Amino acid sequence: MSTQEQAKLEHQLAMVFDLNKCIGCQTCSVACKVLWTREEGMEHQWWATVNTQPGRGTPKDWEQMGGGERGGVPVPGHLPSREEFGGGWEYDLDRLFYGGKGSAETLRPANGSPQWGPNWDEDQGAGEYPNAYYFYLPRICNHCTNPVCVEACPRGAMYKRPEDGIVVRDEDRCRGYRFCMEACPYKKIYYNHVRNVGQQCIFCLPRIEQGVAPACARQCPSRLVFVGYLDDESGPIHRLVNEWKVALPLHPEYGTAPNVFYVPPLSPHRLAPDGSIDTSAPRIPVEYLERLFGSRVGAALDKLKAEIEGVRGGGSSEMLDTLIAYQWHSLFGGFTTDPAELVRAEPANGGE
Amino acid sequence: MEAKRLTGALSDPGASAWAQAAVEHVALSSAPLADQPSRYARSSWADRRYGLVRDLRIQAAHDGESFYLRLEWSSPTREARDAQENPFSHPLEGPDAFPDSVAVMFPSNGDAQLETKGCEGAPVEIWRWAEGMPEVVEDLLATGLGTLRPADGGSGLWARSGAKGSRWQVVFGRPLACEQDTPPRLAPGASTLMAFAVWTGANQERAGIKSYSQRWLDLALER
Ligand code: SF4
Ligand code: SF4
Repeated sequence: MSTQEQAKLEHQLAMVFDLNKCIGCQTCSVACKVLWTREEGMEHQWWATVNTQPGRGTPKDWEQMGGGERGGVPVPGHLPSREEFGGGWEYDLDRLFYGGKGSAETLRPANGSPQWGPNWDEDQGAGEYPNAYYFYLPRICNHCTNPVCVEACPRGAMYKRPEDGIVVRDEDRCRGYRFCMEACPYKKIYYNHVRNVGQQCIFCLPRIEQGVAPACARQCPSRLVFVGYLDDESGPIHRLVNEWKVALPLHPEYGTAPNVFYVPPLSPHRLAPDGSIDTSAPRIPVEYLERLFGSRVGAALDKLKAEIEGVRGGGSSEMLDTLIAYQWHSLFGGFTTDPAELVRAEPANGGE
Repeated sequence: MEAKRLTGALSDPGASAWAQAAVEHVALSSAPLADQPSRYARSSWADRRYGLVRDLRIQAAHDGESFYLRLEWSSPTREARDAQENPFSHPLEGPDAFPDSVAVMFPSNGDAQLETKGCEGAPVEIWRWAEGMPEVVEDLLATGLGTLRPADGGSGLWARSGAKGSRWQVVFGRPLACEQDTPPRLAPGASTLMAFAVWTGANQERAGIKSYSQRWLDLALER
């Protein structure tokens, strides 16, 4: 996208995920799956995924698949295979429950023996007992400011909506060439072989247009997903990202300028061999977090720790109050409409 | 080349009737990298070999009712697959899988450039076949790179395919008289130009990543 086109953006929608609150429950992934990717051809599609870090993620080893830009030059990307995505398993529940085999029949995928899936290495993490560590990383399309997926499409089928910066695709123009999928360094585009089109997170566009927060954010039981315009200076996203600088993009070196940001995870204390608390180093190595969130992660963690110390000492912190989100609706940047209260329009095509 | 008036089961790519039709070999070359519309494709394919199919065997005929164009080529994709495999059973659903494909392009008038796939006011018509279950037959129009869209319909285009070893054999067919208002005009005594492109699925060739004929080929239909 040229700078000229970018200048036409009126606003940019964004999200902040506070990783200190994520419990890895997958409610966000399932909320999205149920809402958007249940059709045939979408079996392996999980527009929202949550992986345990450190881990190989989904698709398997996606961080080694290239894509994005270095110094303004596109980096060749790898098209993930079906095996690398994994998943899309089917279970024969009828046979399990009513097949008459009793406990001789067990729950197992009916379509072969899967070797990977969207959440395969859950809770493995890294490190040795008693200092093992891991945290959860929810991911969606980042609706990047420099969307290399848009540039890569020879058909001009993808674009960034000028009113809110959501990256969308015109499926009538898409011919399933999948250059977007190759170019996206986050591997957040999926191929629908039934319709021969690429598909990805649409930031719950139809909900946004009705004032409803995206499903992953609204359904999160841990109240950690902030939604709003990055340029809304009074909103939590702007303050967390630009003012307090505690929310950072994932892999900024990929060169796409993501609009999904993360509050990095603080570490529990390390334990010394004698069982005493070892404060000499954090349990999650800072170098590891720097590999994910760039060089500013140390400063962000220091800021978080300082605010926590301040509150422990009897002070107050607007930043921590924001992250705690005492009021659920404060997360949603004005997109607070309850979807249950919307009057549902009949689909124009009768739902076919 | 001439499309002779022949009789026989010309819609069948394996029919003996095709032995009576002259054979033309068209040399194909890789579509220029500089013509790829995205920076991404230009840089990611700079060091990748593409346009693997270099030779396309062409025959044309008509039987007074329909026009037939038979295309045959040796497919690196098929070479790589199990020779015993049913040619039409190969799964192509994988996110990294692309079909073998062939296309023929006809200009609507003298202004339609081959390199740019036509332009505003001078569309090109493109017939495309791709392997798969089901296989794909498309009648398309373009007025420049990246503008491919379904043609108005009404041409009655169809295709039938077969395979012999590593070679694909595809027959495109169309009634000589058709309702579609865009050329090609395919009638006894008429003539048109044709150009060709082939995509090797196993090499992830698609869109502008293909081999193509750099020149138009003349086609005249016998009266
Ligand atoms: S995350 Fe990938 S698909 Fe989404 S906007 Fe960025 S480059 Fe495009
Ligand atoms: S719903 Fe919330 S807590 Fe659960 S995995 Fe998703 S982001 Fe984490």
